[in-house]
Amino acid sequence: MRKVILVGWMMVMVMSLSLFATNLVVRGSNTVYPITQLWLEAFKEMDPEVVATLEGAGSSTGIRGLFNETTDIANSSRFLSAREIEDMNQAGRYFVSLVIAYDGIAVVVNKSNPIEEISLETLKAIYTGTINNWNQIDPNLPSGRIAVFSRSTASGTYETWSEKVLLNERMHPSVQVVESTQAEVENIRRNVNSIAYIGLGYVTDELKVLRVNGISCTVDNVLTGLYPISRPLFMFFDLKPFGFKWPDQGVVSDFITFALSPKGQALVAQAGYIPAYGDK
Amino acid sequence: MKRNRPSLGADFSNHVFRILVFISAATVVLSLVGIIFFIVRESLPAMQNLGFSLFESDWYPTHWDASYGIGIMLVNTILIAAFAGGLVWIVGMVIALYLKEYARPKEREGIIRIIEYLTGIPSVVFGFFGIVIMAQWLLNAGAWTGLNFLNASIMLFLLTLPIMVSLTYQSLESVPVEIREGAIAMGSKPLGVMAMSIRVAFPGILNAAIISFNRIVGETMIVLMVSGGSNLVPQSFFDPFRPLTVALGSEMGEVELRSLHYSTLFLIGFVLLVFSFGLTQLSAEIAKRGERWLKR
Repeated sequence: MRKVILVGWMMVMVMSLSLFATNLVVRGSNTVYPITQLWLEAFKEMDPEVVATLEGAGSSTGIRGLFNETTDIANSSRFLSAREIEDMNQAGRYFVSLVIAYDGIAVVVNKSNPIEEISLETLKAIYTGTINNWNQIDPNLPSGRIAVFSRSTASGTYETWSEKVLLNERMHPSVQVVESTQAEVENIRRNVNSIAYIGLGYVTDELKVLRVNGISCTVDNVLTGLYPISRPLFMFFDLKPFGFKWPDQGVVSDFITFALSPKGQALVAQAGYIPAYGDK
Repeated sequence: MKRNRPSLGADFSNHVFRILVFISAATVVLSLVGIIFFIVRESLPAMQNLGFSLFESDWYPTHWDASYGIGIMLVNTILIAAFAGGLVWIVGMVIALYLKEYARPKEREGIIRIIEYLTGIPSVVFGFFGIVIMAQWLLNAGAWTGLNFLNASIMLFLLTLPIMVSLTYQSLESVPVEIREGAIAMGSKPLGVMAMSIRVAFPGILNAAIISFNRIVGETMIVLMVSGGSNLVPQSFFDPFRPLTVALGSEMGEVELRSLHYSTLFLIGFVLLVFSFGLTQLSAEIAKRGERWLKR
């Protein structure tokens, strides 16, 4: 009998524990994933009660999660589509959208390469395989087969590249898909004929950053939207569970406040992206 | 009582030990069955959806008009395993023969010690060496890109050489002295004796080659770092390529859960598993046959 009481008491304890623990589900874009990961790590340190679930499953999946209430926050590398806004209105919902960071992608080559500038069309031609020698771009450039590097096609950086440069065309199979930005940097440093694209946060002095369509890849140009290979990154959450009022308290509110705080925005830079607010 | 029955305590500990041994054995079997079950279950959607289009050449799993062909990567896996495996077989055999036939005892001990050290090097270190040093050498030698078939071959060669040498050396060592002495008595020259030992040790040597081949097929880290990652069959040693394990290793972390892409990655895992099972089976078969062959 005693045992039964003990077990029952323990079960009640466990249940009450899970009742009091606050859950936070974040889902969506793979691009935003590394930022959110850093945020959640720091956030859990401040509030150990929080049980957070983070899933990188693509922007659309995150937004779908908001509709069927399986996520608290949706990460997205694009804004809501017209169709989604219509659906949202019909469902009587209101998704708050926050710009949390900017993603700028720099085109880099070896320091010894005399090229200074490249156009989006040329970039597309290189990555789809129609141009494969530097002197095809400009006869003044030295002849040499271009060693083209890309990130994994499952990565968020590739997603942006595919959308803004390849215009959703298929990348040529000869493009060398490497595992990390670090591997790209290593190859660019060593190989005089190489080209790659990397997040602006990863650019170092050892690389030469090209102007794209005449615009240099700087934080300012990304923030003003002048630089063509860039985009804002978003976080959406639904106001319906809060009775269509701005949530003043609760885990969602705390998390958003933290994400947009100077500390949260510093983590954005740490993840290799451009902070949307505060110090650049 | 005449029979010497074990005391109750001994009986009990014997029982506990038996249970422990049984549990460990069952864990191995269960985890193998579990892994196979899991891989097959997760790859089932891809099998149903793709069918034989799996073996086509286009691999664009994240494109809006996606295609999931692993044909080229499969060919690349076989190519690199055949080339690096062949190389490691020949060189490994030469080293093992040298150790057995020519090396002085001190020398042999030294070389075996060095090979033991080589065995302990993690593959990521080879990969790093490939990116930082070998790639630079190849570029200096005129390659158009540092990450290529030759680079991966050399790194995989270095990785598997120790296994090849020690297994080959062991099978040469196990050649009965009578056979060597017999050959000498028949008037064989040293080279003839060596050929005789190779013939006798051949099943073991072949087995060693299959084990290294298997290791190369499954190796992920090195090729992930130095293969170059182009979905093309290399036309020269300096061309980049992409074996199956690279797709698996680089995309698994970022794939959408339960999507067709996810399932196809598991199907790649299943293909590799079948490959590895086949090779292991082959090596077991050779070991068995070899024994029979020797007894004859």
